Amino acid sequence: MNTDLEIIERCKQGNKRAQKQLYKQYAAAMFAICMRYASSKVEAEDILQEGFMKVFANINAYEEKGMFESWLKRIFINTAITVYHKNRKYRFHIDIDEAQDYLMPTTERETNTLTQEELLKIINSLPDGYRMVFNLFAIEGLKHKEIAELMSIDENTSKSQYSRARKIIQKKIIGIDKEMEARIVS
Amino acid sequence: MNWDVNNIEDLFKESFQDYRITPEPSVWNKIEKQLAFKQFLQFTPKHFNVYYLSATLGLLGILMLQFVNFENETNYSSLPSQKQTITTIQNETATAESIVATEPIAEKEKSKTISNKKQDKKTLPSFTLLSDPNAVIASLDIPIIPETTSDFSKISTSSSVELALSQNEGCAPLAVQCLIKSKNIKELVVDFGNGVVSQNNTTTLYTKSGIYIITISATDHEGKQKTILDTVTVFETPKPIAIVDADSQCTENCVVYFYNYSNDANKYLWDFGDENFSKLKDPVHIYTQSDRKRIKLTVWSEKMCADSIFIESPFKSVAENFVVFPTAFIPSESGSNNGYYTLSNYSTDIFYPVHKGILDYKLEIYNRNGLMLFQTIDINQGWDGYYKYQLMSQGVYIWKVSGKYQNQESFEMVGDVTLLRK
Repeated sequence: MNTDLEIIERCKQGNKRAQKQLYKQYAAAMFAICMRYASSKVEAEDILQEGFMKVFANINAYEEKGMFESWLKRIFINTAITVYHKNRKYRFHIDIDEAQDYLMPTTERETNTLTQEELLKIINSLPDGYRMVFNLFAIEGLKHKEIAELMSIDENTSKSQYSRARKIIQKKIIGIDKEMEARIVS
Repeated sequence: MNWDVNNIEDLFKESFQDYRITPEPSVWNKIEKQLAFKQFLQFTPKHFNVYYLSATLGLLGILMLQFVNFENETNYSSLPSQKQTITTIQNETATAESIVATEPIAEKEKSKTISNKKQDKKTLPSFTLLSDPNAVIASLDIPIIPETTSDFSKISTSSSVELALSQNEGCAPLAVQCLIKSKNIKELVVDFGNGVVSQNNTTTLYTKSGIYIITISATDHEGKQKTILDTVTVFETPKPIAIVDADSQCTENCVVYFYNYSNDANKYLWDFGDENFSKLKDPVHIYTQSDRKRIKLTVWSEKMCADSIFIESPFKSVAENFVVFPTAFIPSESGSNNGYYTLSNYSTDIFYPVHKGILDYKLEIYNRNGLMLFQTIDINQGWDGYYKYQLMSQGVYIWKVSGKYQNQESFEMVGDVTLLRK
């Protein structure tokens, strides 16, 4: 069995097999992160590709001090932010149909717990700017000041976007909730 | 219930801790390709592969060719010395007849080289036409048969393509023009290496940094194909990001902190807007007066690519906040434009307010039947007069706006606007 450290060491030497192995080991976890930040699957794939290129180009800079996975994670989150900035012209643009859709609760439900897919769906339904801030604050646990720096936005913008994102999500979850209760009664 | 609506942070955090989604296998294929390409461009003896071997051989070939040309060009001047060497050899053998005999041989050789030179002049293209000294020229000739020499009865046409680039490197975004000189070519295809392939366009814009390979594929009238390659290096342009920290209530001798979060930059210039400047990364500046200032940050990268931003004055003016809508507008007939506007250019084709100090904002547009045609929460976006990509007819429409000013005071207004058609 190859340990992470061995794979990393061989990646530093530019070994192609090791690169593939590293990809196999972490692609799924990193792709899940990309999916949270991206506005579409295609964009998520772009982030994944760009991120791994960065990883392979900079793997020499990784010192075996911190956890390798958190080092990886940081690269992918930064890449996601870069990609978001590239498309930021449409930051607040929501299609009318989409806008109504995100105010209405989702209807399909089967079990009485929220699955990861459902939560991901909720995140993906958020407007672009909200989604970035929600991911960074709620899931990655960054502070608003840090988010403001990363995203080059005002700290207050980060706060207000977060609180709006939170409201939308709560509404959706309550919507799912009510739907379920109705089902249990009938 | 298994979740608490008031603690969605924990719910999401826990759920996504070990979340995994397997990406499509095509993503790895793309990465592998990109890696191979990168490795190809990075020269290290470790990766000395078949490509380099062929590239080296090609280079050697070109050098040899040039060397031969050089020889031909300089034959004239070197003739006397050649004669000398011949004579010295003759001297060693020391026979008078052979000296006499060598004279006509030398003469013959001289005339041969002249005729060679004549041929060369016809067949080898000259590059002097291109005035740009920085332009790098790549040239390939389709096999040439000399046109009018008596040795060949057949007359054949020669075809050639030459490529010069307006520039070989620069800062992103970089516009590059291909100057193509072609002779007897039926079809030309230019692949700019950035995903743009064109038959008639010779200019492209590289928006991302990187090394791009431009490929020109030419087909002559006989169906022979030729390709020319050249590379363009696009450097990353730094992105200036700055945060200004100041006491907004301050009126005199205000200390202002400037924080620099610029990416890819290593040289900075701050223009504080009061005729003071600083080259520090994160300077501190004291303003004697707290009127509106135009602060500018310019950043440079290692490759001297530069960009700049203007930053809003750190001092908030005392005037109150407002949002005021116009009563009419004339939408563009040429299609929906998403409604993004800039306050500085007073256009009449988008319906948007003049405003100040807006924190939260929501605008809705309805028609007379109460159908919502448009809504936005972005103050920078107005209504362009379109609904589902269709221009609305002339008439009166209702707008409704609500939100909050920066001083936390909220506002809500309703009004109407007349849509005029040109």
